[in-house]
Amino acid sequence: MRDSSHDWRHDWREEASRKLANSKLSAAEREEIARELAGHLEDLCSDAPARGLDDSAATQSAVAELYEDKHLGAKLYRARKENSMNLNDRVKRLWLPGLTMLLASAASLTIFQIAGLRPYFQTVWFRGDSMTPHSVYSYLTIYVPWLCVLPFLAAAGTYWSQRAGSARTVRVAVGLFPALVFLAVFVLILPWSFAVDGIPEAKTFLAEFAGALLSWVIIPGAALLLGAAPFLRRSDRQHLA
Amino acid sequence: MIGANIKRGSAELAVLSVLEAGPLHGYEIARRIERNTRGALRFTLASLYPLLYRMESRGWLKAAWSETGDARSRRCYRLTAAGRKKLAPLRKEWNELFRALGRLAEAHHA
Repeated sequence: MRDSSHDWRHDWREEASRKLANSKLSAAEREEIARELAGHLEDLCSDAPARGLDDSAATQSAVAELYEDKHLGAKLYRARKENSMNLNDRVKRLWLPGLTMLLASAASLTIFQIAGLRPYFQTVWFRGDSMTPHSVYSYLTIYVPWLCVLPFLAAAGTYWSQRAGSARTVRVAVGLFPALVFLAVFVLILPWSFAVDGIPEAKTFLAEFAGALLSWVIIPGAALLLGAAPFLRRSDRQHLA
Repeated sequence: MIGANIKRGSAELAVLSVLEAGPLHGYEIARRIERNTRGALRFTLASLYPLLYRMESRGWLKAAWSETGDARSRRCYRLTAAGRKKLAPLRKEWNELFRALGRLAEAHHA
């Protein structure tokens, strides 16, 4: 502990940061917590006259409070780690809304297809050049009505997750859940496809993979993100008078 | 000796109760509890913030940085829907506990 006769009124943040230095908290967490604790200590000092303390006594009282518990950093770390969700929370905040969204998006696509909807194909890139005169084509498979439904599904899913008390990263995962599942499927299918069909020419593979990625991951992902966006804000700022 | 769970439960009830009226930052929470209990319950920095973070992790509270009237920045806590939902049964449990203890004390004096 430092000499308490020194005037620390403008130094609480640094002092709190020093107090947390040996904890397992990440630098960003330490910075935020130190900022919050510094605010607490400043208020404690500001209230000192009301408690009948002069500046020096107020500073000493605040220092004593900061250093009261030598395990403060560890306790704060453990409390924050409860952030890593337990199983029930994970199910309520991530898996239930995410899987429901996935099912709903798959069901809506199936319904559109049964109703006779045909995808709009768009040919894309990889024309030949002087070095490789042959051309490689790929297609974007676009179901416009389905893409229009996705933002609403994402909004419902992220709202559900938010109501269950999820963190923003979890809400992002829920919002993008169907696109992430498609991505995982592509990544898992690749080795299987290589094993069955042999390894394709690099350019052909890249064109097809890029087309599939755009059609089923990136463009739907953008539509999902659009719907999820209103529920991804970290928090509403509130002005306290 | 009061068990850790009882202590923690009472502390949670205290925090949830003062936040029911509106958002407050950590220091205000501690002051409000101290004032409302006429000094019977007092939170220090070391007892308050681990509790607030734990309650935030459970989704009972939500925190946001806000500018206070004097242009200072403070992290303010407010009750979430889950926190409000937790408050009613917690209150009921504690009322029942105090009534039971009261009955026990009366029986002892009788």
